[in-house]
Amino acid sequence: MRHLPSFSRLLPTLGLTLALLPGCYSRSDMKSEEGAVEIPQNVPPTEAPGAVPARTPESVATAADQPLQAVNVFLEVSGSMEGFMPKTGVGGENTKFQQHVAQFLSEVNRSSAARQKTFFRIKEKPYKDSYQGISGTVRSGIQQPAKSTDIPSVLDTLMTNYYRPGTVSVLISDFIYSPKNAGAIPYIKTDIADALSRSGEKSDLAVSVYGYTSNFRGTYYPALVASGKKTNCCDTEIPYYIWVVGPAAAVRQFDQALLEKQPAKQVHFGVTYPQPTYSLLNKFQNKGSWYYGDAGASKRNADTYRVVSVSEASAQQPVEFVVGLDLSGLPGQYRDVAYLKQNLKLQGVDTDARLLDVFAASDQNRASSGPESKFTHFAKVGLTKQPKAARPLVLRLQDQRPAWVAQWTTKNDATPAPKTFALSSLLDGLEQQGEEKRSIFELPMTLQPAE
Amino acid sequence: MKALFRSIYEIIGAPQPPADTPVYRDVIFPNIGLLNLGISLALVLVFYYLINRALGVATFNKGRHWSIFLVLNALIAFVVAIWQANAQQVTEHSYIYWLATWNAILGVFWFFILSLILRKGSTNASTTPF
Amino acid sequence: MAKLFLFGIGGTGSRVIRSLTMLLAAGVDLPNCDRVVPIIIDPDAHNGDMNRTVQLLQSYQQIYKRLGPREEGFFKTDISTLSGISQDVNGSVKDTFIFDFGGINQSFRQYLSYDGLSVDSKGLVDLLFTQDNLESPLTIGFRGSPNVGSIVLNKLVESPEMRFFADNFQDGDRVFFVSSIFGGTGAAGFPLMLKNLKDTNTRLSNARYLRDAPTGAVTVMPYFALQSEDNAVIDSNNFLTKTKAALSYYEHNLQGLDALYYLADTPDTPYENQPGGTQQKNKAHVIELLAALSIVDFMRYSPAELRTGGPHFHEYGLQADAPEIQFSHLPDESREIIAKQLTQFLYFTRYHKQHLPTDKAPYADNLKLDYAMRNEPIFRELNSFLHSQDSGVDQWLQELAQNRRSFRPFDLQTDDFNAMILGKPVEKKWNDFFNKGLSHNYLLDNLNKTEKSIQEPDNFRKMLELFYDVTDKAFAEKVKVV
Repeated sequence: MRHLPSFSRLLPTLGLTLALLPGCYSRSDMKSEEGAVEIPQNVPPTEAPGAVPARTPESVATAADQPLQAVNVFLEVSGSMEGFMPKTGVGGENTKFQQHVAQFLSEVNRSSAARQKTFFRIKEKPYKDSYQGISGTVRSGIQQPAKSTDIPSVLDTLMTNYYRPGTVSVLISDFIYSPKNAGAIPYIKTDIADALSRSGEKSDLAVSVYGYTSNFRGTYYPALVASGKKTNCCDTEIPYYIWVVGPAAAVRQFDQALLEKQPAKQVHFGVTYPQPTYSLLNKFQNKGSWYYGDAGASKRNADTYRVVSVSEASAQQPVEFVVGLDLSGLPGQYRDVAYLKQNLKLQGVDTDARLLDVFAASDQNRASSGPESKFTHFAKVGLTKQPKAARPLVLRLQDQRPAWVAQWTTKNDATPAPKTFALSSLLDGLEQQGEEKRSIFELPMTLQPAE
Repeated sequence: MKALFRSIYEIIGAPQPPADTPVYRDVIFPNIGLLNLGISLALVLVFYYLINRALGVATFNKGRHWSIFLVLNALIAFVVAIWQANAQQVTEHSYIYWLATWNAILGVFWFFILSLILRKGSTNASTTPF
Repeated sequence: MAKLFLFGIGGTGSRVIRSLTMLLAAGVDLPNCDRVVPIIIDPDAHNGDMNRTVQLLQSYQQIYKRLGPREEGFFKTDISTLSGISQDVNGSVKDTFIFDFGGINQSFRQYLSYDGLSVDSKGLVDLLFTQDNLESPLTIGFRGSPNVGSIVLNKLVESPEMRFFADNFQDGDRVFFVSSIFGGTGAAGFPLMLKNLKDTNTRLSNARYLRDAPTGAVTVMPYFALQSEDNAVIDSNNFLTKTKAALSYYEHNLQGLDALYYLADTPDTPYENQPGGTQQKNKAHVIELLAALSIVDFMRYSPAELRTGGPHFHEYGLQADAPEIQFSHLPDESREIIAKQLTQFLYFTRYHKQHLPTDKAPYADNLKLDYAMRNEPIFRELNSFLHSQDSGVDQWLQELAQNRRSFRPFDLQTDDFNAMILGKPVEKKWNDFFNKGLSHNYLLDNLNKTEKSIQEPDNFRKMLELFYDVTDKAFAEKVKVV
């Protein structure tokens, strides 16, 4: 303890020294900040491989959001769902649906992501149930299957009664839409769109669709009634879906909290995402004569750099630079490298810059001490022409319906298969009408000649 | 200020590798530029005002003694440039040594100019180097 | 413009004037006087002592002309030839320090026109002069024969030089005679000159001024011996006899003298016997330096002091009877007058020889010494004044040191300024890091420093002022007292 006073006497000196240090041009102060950020990034090795370790400021902010006001879970218990939730057999075996949905319900019930959780069974209309009740139904099977309800009515009910800010409705169903007759099939899209907008246009309406398959033990009801129901179905797995319906922000928050962790097919409508963190990387697979043109680029206070200053570029001496992207805040669909390769577009003016490659961060990248460790994905851009003046350069991720939707769609579900009747048409109805397809993100940068 | 040092130091060409250009322009050039001036000034003051005035040393005023300081200045300038480059963690590149050499030449230049300006105030070296 | 007319009679006169010139060059103050006018009276035109004294005086004169009058410094007092004191020289007086005897290359017999004299007169002459006296040529002086000298010198009063001297004599001017009592020229000349100047019936102008002028004299009594040679003209064994005779004459016949200085020493090693001519070039002796000091002493008295209770008689005694005289052996009064000045002058002389030609320093650059020392006549004049083999300061100090009794206040062999004053080395202080006492560095530093503060466009004047200031400071800081 005797040493303490002498140390405290040194403190002013130390402080003075520190205060004087930035007087000189230096980056050391930036480096210390950087170090402080880096340490927690390296901490959680407990997460599964493939999990995204980085927490961008945006995602952190999301987690810190207020929890959702309410979550309303609707479970369809019509006859067609019976095969997913058969009465418990002698062997005690259950379906993947039971397994999955029971767990999902449990998670929802336990989740702190929403303040109020309400569970409903959909018969001809939603009936409120308790968690125990609905969980029991899932586990021990549907005792009294209800008459089938058509999807537009359900959606209408949800939109009319349960669409509120900070509230999402979760609909668990096989979404087999049986039109009255074959002639109605071309109008499925319109029916859905109408159902969603009947209670008034909701500009921020968003729907996330998660697709799963499960083994199925019971009677299979195809959409086309004419083809006749099949008992003791089936040898093949049958798809079921979880729809999350609500205001865009609430949907995103719910997805993030409860659905992103599970492997599933997914497609999103109207959900908006905060712009991912991104930055140019000047020492990561770079080539040719270019450097950060951002003001104060030498200081490492900015984690992000957006301006490429090209000193020299030609066919012989091409310039290549990599843009690091932190896509951890996006749903898995948009993090998929195959999806990105197809839908990440580079738009420039007066330049031949093009996207050379898109790839995900390797373990080595993540372990690196360089700034590339903060990103989950990388887009490599190449150009061979010296820009004449500062011009915008934009990385844009297009929202494209994923390929699985088409694969899971059938026009004839008479034969049980892991496909759903007119799925594409259903989802078409979720598309916002008359609106241009929005991009998932747009990352502006600047391409300029070196000073 | 930065523009001035940049123009001085880019006489020998743009910084290499290009990715470190902002660091060189915004940090290293002004740093070594100012340090170089400061060191040259300090050495000139030591030679003309400390040794050849305050200490009253009258026999350390020949051209060869001045040359010792000139060479010393060049060496310090060289080392300072390399030190700064390392301190700013720029990518290792032969350019650093070219820069250091250029800095040494500039150091010699400053020393010379400052000598001409300040020598008059010295007692025993007011006519050194000539 | 008070002047001192300094009559140096005979070889001794020349040598004393040489010493005085050295003292004045060293910056010894000569009060009550702006200008010294030395007049060397020696019929022996080829006397070596006289010639190098004249050479020295001319050098001094050149240097002084360039320097001009100053408060203090080396070469402070003006030394001028007789003709130099007035603008209206009518051409009869030559611009020289030597009294012009008009080239008496006659024998004494011819000078007296002995052959044309009456028989009675011839008889008288024969009675007063030996045959030797009569036959000897006057060109080499009177060779220790005052009886010859008195005849010849008596005629000086009628010379144009004496008239010019009297014409330009002003109130406040002083007269001083330097002579030896035991020689020929001096012993005879001094009383004669004095008598003629103070003569109430003189035909000279300004007689009143002349009569009232403070007048002093130094009489050098025997201080050396000559090697006895059988047929030598001058026999030092007669010195004492001659001295006694002269003194008894002086006792009653020196009218109008205000101060008389007697100097004597016991002879030691005999000089080579050279009766005259260029060979008579004796080593400088401390007695001459003391005689020169008597002039300084005389000038330090005010006219009022001299007139009251005069004439004043002075003798000189050393602090100790040392065969080698250092500053410490001198009485305080003498030491005060010369020690500092001579030391400063020695430092200057030594530095001038040892370092000045090779100093590559700001002061040297600013004075353009490199060029000046090689090309400017005045710098060469100074160089010869200081270092001439024959008449230079170096030589003078050497001679003083080598003679018996020797005046050796300095170690002339050493290069170390700290050890130059014998018996008083400069103390080196341990904390004097770069300036070990009187190091070259110390002097150089002060030269550079002082040079900046002297505003003087003329580089020669500036150099002398610089060295005076620096040696003055060196003495004050490092030597302090001797």
